[in-house]
Amino acid sequence: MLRKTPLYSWHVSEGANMTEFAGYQMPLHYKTGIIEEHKNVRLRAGLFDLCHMGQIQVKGRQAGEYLDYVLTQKVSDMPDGLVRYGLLLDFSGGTIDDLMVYKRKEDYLLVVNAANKEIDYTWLLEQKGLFDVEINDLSDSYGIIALQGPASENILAPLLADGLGNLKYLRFIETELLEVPATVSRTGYTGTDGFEIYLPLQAIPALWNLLLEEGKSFGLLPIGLGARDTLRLEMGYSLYGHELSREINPLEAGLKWAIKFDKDDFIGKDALLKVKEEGVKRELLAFKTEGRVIPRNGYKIIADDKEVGFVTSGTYSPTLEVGIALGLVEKGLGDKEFYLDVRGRLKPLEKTKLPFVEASVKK
Amino acid sequence: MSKIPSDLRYTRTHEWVKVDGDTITVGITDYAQSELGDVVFVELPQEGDDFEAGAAIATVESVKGVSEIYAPVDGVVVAVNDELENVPELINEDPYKDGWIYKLKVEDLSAIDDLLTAEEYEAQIAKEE
Repeated sequence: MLRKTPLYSWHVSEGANMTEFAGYQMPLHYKTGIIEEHKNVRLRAGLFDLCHMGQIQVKGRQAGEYLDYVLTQKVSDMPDGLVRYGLLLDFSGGTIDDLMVYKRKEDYLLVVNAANKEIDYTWLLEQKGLFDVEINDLSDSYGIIALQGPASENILAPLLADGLGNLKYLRFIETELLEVPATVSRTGYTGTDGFEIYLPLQAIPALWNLLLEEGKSFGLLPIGLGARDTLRLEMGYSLYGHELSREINPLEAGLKWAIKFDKDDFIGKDALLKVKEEGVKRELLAFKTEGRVIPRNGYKIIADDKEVGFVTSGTYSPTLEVGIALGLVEKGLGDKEFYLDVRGRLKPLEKTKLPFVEASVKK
Repeated sequence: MSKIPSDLRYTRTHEWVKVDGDTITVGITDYAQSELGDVVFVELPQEGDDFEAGAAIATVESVKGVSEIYAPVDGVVVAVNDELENVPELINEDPYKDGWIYKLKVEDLSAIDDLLTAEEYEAQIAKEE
């Protein structure tokens, strides 16, 4: 039985093309189509239903210390109102999930991938040990709406009693929206300016409709998971299950910046130190294609007539109008010529730098 | 509801077929284009290539994924829609006219009779939906 977000009937009534994602029925795209939805976020604004994502609350006297132990990121020194990206590792250094940590006044909020939320919650409880913490799964009580794109601030600010103030990227405020408590962060996974709004689940449809109404004159459109994926891949952002998994360690995935080795101890630290010592064997590279070639997940990457890796995420970039891909490739191949195996035919790949498209977040 | 013109024949793999003497024109149905979403590339066959029924003859790539287009019956390619090289979105905008993909010269016209009628095709997609 597939699960539904509170916006399910709205999506269906708008004629969205629905798809199964992480056990939920979600909109892949609306009648507008993925390319137009994508461009609308880059140029104007888009609204995303993220109510399928998981929200886990950690609070108590030792919440900071506990999170320092279970996450790769340093958490205990976070001031209220800050968001950090971190990883949840197993003891062998494999990635259980990647997540965002919010340091609120009363608690820490972990925002996790929909497909992993039960796994994460169970793992977090198992690792609790003697830490004086309380861990709650809030996923079925709170929902998330993302408002992304350059017009986002103009749409959202008038709806907040105190406006957005000087809110910067990776910062949030605890405020009120529609007379209920709301967490509003200047974050997102599109590489444009934008916000993510956390609200009790029952208030989600009202907020969705309000934002669509307020956003109408700014060209705001609802955006499905299809464009969510093309937007994040243009930024080269990792997606769990593609660039990260139990089988791909975060050093291979290029996420060293999110791992604080100077912390005393954290789960997976010893395993990763061993990987570092022995040398990382694979690396994530960014590629563009020429002509009529779209890389797809799982396509083989070839160099010197040998298979040297595979595409972890590939798509068509609506901004660049070429194929783009992230590929996990044997390390140290440097300036070899890479090819993509497209249904038995080899097509040249051009190695490139990330991001594929320059980000425009409000630092 | 997707459009299913009654004067065309259809395949289980969502191609439409228009018969004109011994030549057929083939494209993908309105239902197929809406499932695929935005088409970004079309790989066309060469004129003169011959194909057996069921062989992959062209490839349509949308943002979402790749789809093979199959030959509905045995035949030789006599024309391809070059326009799709520059304007692949014609498949989305006008799947039954400007979005046609290729024309086949057919030896055995009786094979056409095995293709689905509009009613049969409608019943099939009703099952898929």
